[in-house]
Amino acid sequence: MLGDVPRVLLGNLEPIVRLGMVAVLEEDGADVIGHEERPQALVLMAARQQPDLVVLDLLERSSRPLAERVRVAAPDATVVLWARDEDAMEVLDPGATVPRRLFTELADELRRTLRGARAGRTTE
Amino acid sequence: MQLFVVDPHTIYRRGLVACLERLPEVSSVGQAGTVPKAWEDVALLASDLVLVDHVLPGALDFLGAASDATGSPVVVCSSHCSDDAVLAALQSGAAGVLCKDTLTAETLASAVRAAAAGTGVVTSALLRDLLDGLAPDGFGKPVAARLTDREQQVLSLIAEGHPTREVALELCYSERTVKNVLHDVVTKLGARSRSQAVAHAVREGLI
Repeated sequence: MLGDVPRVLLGNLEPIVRLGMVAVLEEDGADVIGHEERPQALVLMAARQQPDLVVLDLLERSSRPLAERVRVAAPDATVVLWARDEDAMEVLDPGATVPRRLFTELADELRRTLRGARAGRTTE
Repeated sequence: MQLFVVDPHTIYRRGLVACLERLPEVSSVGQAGTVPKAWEDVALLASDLVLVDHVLPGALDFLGAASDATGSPVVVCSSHCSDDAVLAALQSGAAGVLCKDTLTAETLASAVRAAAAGTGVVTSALLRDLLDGLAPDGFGKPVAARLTDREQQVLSLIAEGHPTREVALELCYSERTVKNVLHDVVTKLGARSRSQAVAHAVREGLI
C-alpha cells in the first residue's frame, strides 16, 4: 500500500543543500527515502524505490540527461532540478515533454510540487 | 555557542542551520531570511557568531552594525565571491568570507570555530584570487581553474553572441543571475567590460 506520504529521493545535490532539502521536505510531510550522488546508483534506486519526487542539482551539467534516465526508471516520478541560489527551478512532471521553469518563490513552489506529487500518487 | 544565520535562500539556510546544529559546542542556531527580520529576532544580539549572505539588501551595512551590536564576529557566506565582493565584505567589517561554491560541512565547522576564536577566515582559493588581483601583473595570468562551471557556461554563450535574456533562458537562470555572474567574471578576469572578458577567456582557452 502506497499511503499518502510523498517519497523523495535526493540526487547529486551539494551536502549543505541536501541537508536543507531534507529539513524542509520532511517538515512538509515527505519521507526522504535516500540520497545517491552516483548517477547509475541513483537510477537503480529510482527504479527500485519508485519515488514520487527526485531532486537534482540544476547547475550540474550532467543533471538534465540524468533526469531523463531517472524518468525512464521511474515514470511516475516528478523530477525537480534545483539551483542552490534559488533563482531557478525546473520541474519535469510525469509524462510532460517540456519542463516547467520557475524563477520566484521557489521554496514555496517546491512545497507545491511535493503536494502535487503526493496528490498524483493518492489518486492512482 | 549561539549562532545566527542570515540567508535569503531557504533551502541553503536550512542546510547551514542543520550543519551547525550538529556541532557539539553549538547550543542554538537562529535564522532569518532578510536583514530586517534578523534585527527583529532577539537571538541575534545573543549570538557568538553570525553568518550572512551579502547578496541580501542592506547586508554590507549589516556586517559592521551586527558586529558592533553583538560584539561577535560576522562571517560572510555567499556564492558571490568576486575579488570586489570579498574586499567589500572585509572592509565592511566581516571577520571572514566563505564561498558556497566550495563550502562543505567540514570547512564550515572549521571556519566557525576559528572565527569564534577570533581568527579571520578566508579560504585559500579566495585569498589567492585576492592577492592575484592586487598584483600589478594580475591581468593575463592563467585563471582557468578559477572559473566555475556556471561562469564558463554563461561566458561561452555570451561569446557565441547570445544576449543576456537568451543566456538566461538557455541555462534556466534569471536575467539577474546572468548579470551577476557576468559581473563576477569581468571582475575575476581583471577585465573592463564583458567583451574584454570574452576576448581574454577565448585567448586563454578558458571557454
